[in-house]
Amino acid sequence: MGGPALLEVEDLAVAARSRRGDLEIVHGVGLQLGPGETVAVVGETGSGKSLTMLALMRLLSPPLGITRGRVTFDGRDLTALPERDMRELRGSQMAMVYQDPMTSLNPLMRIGAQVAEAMTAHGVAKSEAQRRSLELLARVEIPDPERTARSYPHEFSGGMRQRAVIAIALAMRPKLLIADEPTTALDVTIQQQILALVNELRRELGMATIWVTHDLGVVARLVDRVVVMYAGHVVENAPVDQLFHAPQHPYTRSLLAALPNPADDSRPALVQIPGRPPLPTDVVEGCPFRPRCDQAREACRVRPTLQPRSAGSAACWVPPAEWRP
Amino acid sequence: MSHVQTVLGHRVTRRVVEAALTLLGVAVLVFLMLRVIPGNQITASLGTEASAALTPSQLAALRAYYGLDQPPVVQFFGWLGNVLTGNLGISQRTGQSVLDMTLAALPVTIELAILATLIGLLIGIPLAMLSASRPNGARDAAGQLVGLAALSVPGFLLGAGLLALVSKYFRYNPSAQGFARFLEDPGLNLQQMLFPALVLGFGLAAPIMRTGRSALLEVQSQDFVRTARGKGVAALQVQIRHVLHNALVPIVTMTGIQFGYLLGGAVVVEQIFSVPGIGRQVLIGLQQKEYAVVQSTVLVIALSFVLVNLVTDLLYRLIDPRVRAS
Repeated sequence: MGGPALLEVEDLAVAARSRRGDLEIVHGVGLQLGPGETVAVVGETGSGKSLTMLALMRLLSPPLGITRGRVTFDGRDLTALPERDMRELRGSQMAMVYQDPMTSLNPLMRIGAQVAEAMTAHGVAKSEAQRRSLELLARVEIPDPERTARSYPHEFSGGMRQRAVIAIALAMRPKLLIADEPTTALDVTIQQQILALVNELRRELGMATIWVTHDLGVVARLVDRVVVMYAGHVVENAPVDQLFHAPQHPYTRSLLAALPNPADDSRPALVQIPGRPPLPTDVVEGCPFRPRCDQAREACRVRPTLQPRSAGSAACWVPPAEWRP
Repeated sequence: MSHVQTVLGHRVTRRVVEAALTLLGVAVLVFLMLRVIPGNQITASLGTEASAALTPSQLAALRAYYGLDQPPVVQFFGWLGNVLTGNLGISQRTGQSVLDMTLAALPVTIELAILATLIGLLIGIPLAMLSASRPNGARDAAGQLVGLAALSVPGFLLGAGLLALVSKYFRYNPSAQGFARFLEDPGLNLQQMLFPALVLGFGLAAPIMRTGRSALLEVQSQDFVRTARGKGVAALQVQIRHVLHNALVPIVTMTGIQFGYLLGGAVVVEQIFSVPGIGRQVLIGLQQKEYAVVQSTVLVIALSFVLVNLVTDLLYRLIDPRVRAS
C-alpha cells in the first residue's frame, strides 16, 4: 500500500476485569490497514475477533476493557483518546455493521429516525439528516424509502434490517468500516445480496474495510489480506492468494481443509479439526493450537511469536516445508 | 379492515366485562366485610350499650330506619340497584348524598395522587439512571440506599416529622387554615398539598427507582444500545432516547399500580395533613359504620383503579409500536 497506515493495532489485549484479577481474552493482537484496504479477520466463534473489533471502536462494556496495546487511527492513539473525542470519531470516521440485525436496531424508534440520528449526532441539521436518510435507504436498496423510513424495525425482515444498519454505518461516509459477521444471522440467499451491497458501497466510498467472519469462503473474493485468529492470538496474517495457496500455519491449513469443496471428490464431504479451542480460563503452555495441531513438536512448548513468512507472517515454529503430510 | 374492527370490538367487550366482574366482586367483598366487623350504625352513634338502654321497640324502629332489619341479600341488591341508577346513598352524619361527598373528595385525592406521582417520578427515575449508570459502584450504592430508606420509612413518621419540623422551626403550617380547594385558592392549595405529596412521592420513588434500575440495566446490555453508541450519539442521549425509552413499560406498569393505590386515598397521610380526600371519607364512614358511605366510596375507588389500568394499557400502546401491531 505504501504511505501511512489508516489503522495500526499493536499488541492489543482485552480482558474481563474483576476484583480477583484480569482474565485476558485477546492476547496482544496486531493489525495494519492502509486507506481503502480490505482485510478479513477469520477465526472460530470465541477466537476474540468480535471483541477485538469492539475494542477498536472502544465499544466494550464493563467488565470488558482494553488492558494493553495501542490503536492508531488516522495518526491518533484511540486508547488514549478522551471519550468525547472518541465519540466524534465513532460513526463519522469509523463505523460498524453488527452481527444480528434482529437486535441491533432500537425497536421503539422509526427506521428513518435511527438513520438520521447517525447524522444529527455529528452536527448535521435535522431536516438535512432526514432528507439524506431517505437517500441512504434508497442507496441500500430498501424499496419505497418515504414509507419505510416511517416503519419500525419489527415491520422489517432480517435482510431489510441489516440494510438499515448498513445505511446507519455509511451515513457519515466513514474512512473505516468494520463488518462484524454481517451475514451470519441471515438466510443464505440474502447473505450474498448483503455481501455484494457492502462490497459495492465500500468501493464507491473508498472505505477501508475489516470483514470479520468465521467462514473463509465467504470473503475470499472480497479482501486483500486475511488475518487468522485463534484463541485470542493472531496466528497468521497474509495476502489472500498466499493464504489460500500456501498457508503458513497448521491452523490455517485446517480451516482451508474444512471448507466444503464440491469439485473435489477425493476429500470427505466434511472435514473437522479434532478437539475444541481453549477457553480463556484454560492454561495452555506454549502454542495455543498445540493440543489440536497435527504438526506439534517439542519446540511448540514455547509460545511462538509472529514471524515473517514470504509476503505475510505466521506464529508457528515449524515452516510448511517441514510439515508432515 | 372489518376483521381488525371485529378483533378490536372483542377486545373492548372483554375489557368491559372484566371490569364489571371486578367491580361486582369488590362490591360483594366490601358488603360482607362491613357486616362481619362488629358493631353497626346504631352502636356507632349511640354507643355499645345502646341495646341495653333502648327498649326493644325503639331498637326495632332504629333497625328499620337504617334498613338493618332486612335480610343481607335484600340490603345488598337494594344498595346495588340504587348505585346503578346513580344513587350512592345518603350520609346520616352529614345529611349529604354520598355522590356529592365523593364528587368533592375525589378531585382532591386525584390532585394529591398526581402531585405525588410526579414527585415520585422526578426522584425515582434520575435515581434509577444514576444507579444503573455504574452498577455496583458507589453511585449505585448511594441510589439504592436512598431507595431503601424511602421504602422503609413509614409515611406517618415522615409526615408527622415533617409537619412538626416546619411548624416548630419555621412557624409554617399551611394546613392550619381550612382546606383550600385548588380552584378557589391555587397558591394556598398547593402549599397545603406540597407536604403530603412529598411524603407520598418519596414513598413512591422507592418502587419506581427499583423497577427502573433493573429495567435500565436489562436494556443497557442490549445490542441496539451498542449500535447507538457506535453512531457516536452522546452518552446521556443514548441513556434517555434509547435506554430509558425501552425501559418505560415496566416503569409505567409500576407507576400505574402505585397511582391506583393513591386513588384509593392515602388514609394516613390525608389524616395527618387534614386533606379532605377520599381516604378520609372512607375512614370516617367506617368509624360511623355508615354502610352506604363506605360501600359506595370503595366502589368508586375500585372503578378508578380499573380506569387507571385501562389508561396504563393505552400508554403501552403509545410507547411500544409492537403492542399497537399485535
